[in-house]
Amino acid sequence: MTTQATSINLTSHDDVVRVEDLKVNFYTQLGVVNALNGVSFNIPRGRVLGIVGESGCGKSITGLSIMQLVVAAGRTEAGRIMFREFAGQEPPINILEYGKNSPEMRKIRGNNISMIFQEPMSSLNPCYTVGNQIEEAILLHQTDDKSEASKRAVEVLTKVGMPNPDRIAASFPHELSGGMRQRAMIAMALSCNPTLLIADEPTTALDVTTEAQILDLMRGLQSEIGTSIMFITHNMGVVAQMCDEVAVMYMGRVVERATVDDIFYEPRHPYTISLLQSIPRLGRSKGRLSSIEGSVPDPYSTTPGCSFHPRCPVAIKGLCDTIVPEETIVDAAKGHTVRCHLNS
Amino acid sequence: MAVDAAKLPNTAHATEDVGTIPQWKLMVRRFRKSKLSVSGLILLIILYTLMLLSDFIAPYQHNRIDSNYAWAPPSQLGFANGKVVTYALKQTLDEVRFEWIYAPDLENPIPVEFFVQGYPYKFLGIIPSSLHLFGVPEGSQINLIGADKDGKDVFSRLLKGSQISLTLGFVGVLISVIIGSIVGTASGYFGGPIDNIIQRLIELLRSFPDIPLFLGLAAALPMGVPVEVRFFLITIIIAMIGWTGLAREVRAKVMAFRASDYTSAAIAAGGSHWHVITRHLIPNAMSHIIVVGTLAIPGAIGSETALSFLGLGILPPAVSWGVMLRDAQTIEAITNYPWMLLPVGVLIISVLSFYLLGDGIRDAVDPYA
Repeated sequence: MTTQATSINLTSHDDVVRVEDLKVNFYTQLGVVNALNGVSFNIPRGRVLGIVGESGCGKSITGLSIMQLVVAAGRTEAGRIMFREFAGQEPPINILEYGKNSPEMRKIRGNNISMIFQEPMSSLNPCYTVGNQIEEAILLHQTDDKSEASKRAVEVLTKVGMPNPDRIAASFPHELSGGMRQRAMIAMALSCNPTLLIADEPTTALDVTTEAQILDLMRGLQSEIGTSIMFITHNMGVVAQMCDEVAVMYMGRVVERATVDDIFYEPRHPYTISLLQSIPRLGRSKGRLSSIEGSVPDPYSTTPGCSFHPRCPVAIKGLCDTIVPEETIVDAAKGHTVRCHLNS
Repeated sequence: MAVDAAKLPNTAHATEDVGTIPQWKLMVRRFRKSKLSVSGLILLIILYTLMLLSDFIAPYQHNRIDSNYAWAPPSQLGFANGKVVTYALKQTLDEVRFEWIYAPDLENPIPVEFFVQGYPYKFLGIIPSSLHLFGVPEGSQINLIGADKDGKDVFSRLLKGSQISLTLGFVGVLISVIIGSIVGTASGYFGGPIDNIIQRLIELLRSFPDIPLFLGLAAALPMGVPVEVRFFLITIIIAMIGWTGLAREVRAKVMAFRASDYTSAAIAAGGSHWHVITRHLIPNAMSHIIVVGTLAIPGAIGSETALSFLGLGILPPAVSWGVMLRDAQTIEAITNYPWMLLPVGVLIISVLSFYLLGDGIRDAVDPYA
């Protein structure tokens, strides 16, 4: 397996999570959907990895797989997710070996790996105060002492820059704005000092001003606490602001993996290049904005060869439409890899 | 300036409280807007107070027989010497219809005395007492709303009957709410085959016609058991049939909440099934459960009355409103002794009050319904 060989060569032992050849299928009444077709990537400790791609490319499923929260219809067919709670932990834990609802898995969730969801409006239970919900995770994992938990809830609310944290802790979700709720969600996710934070498009539902504030906050907290972040988004602007490294996904595969600078200045995969070209830029108003030809194929069909070939402007006939390109190293030092025949 | 500085923290404190009216206060506000529901609640409070104090208010034991007063009409009340009085009854025999004809002996007033000693009872079931709200001297009788064929005081029976009729519905619904919530939550939360089995079971139970099912279950009850045991068993029967509707509604609610992001967030925070169900799903469904429960109580009261009316529920000498209606089912009672039908009136009032209360609660907890 070239895939595994490359990822082992490229990475040090200080990865928080290493996803290896992950395959997830969804069995629906309309047929089988290959949501993930062998996803491999690593999240280095203390860094922010951006996962970028169009809707339906498997970004969220990858995040949910790490948490083992994929719905019942989705089945993990192959692959490993190796998790190291602390640097140099040997052997690493394969998360997929735990049962979905096993006590071990529940201990990892929220405690070692936590998650922020897209919709801050509906992610908080309307029945309880914000403080109460932050305490919940602390009580589940860290302490049994209620007064200790509520003290820590206020502490963590202060940490996420909430004005008047005591009052916020005592208020109900409907009394807070979207930005404040997302701050509360971040506070909740960070309440147990997780090793890894999975943020699934945490700013999509917010306006740009609030988005900038939330990203600022996450970046600041990340450098302060050192938590690794897996940042799922479809917004290249957010990637540029937020991430250290980027994995570009298309149709359930990571097609390119590089540092954030390399993705923006030396993209290798035609899909990455097209994605970057389709971002509107200030001051360049002449001509139509270029877009990627065609649309994402029907999820129930399988595309032979490179899954991007039907939309690829530089596809090679007879090669790209028959053989799946392997992951190849562009720059071993920076960990730049790409899955494209043009680069092999 | 010094005064201003001292005032400042106060103002800051005052602004902090703005917009933080707790949810339940908002509910109370919305509830109070509906006059009908408030009157329903007041009526129920009165009914239940009367029920709790029934032994104190009732002048006679519910099964005290006095054949001298068979079918006695309601006692006439009046004032004499600044005291409330009632009158002794003159009995004459109607020789054609062979019936007693009663007429108040207006020359012979009997003073009604308040806070008198009467039959012994246990106040609220605990404190032994024999004090009664009112009574007349030994040898005469007061039947505020008449007497039945054995001369039993209908007023006392009505009060005593409320003890069974009003609590049985309540307890029955409580049990069915508990069963319904547990089964409905399990069905909605776990889904798949568990949901399928539970839903088919509910359909099976619901496909039985109610009355024959009641009859079948009631007929299976042992006859020789004490009143309390029979009461309990009938409660169980009512609950067994009542939980299905609630279970379905709870299931629908739980399914919606299960798909919500805060449930995912709770699972992502490492919560177990039990934790998610008890912390997130049931509290959210609670307002709905309370409303459905409140609206189910009148049905359960009706079921008890129907069972007792058919002679399969509460059995004499115990008394419930259904038992009293059983005594009133002859044409004779309806034409000659209309006071025997009074339980119907009380039953309608209590059932209506529960419906009004339930409607009010529903509007209060969910302003969009």
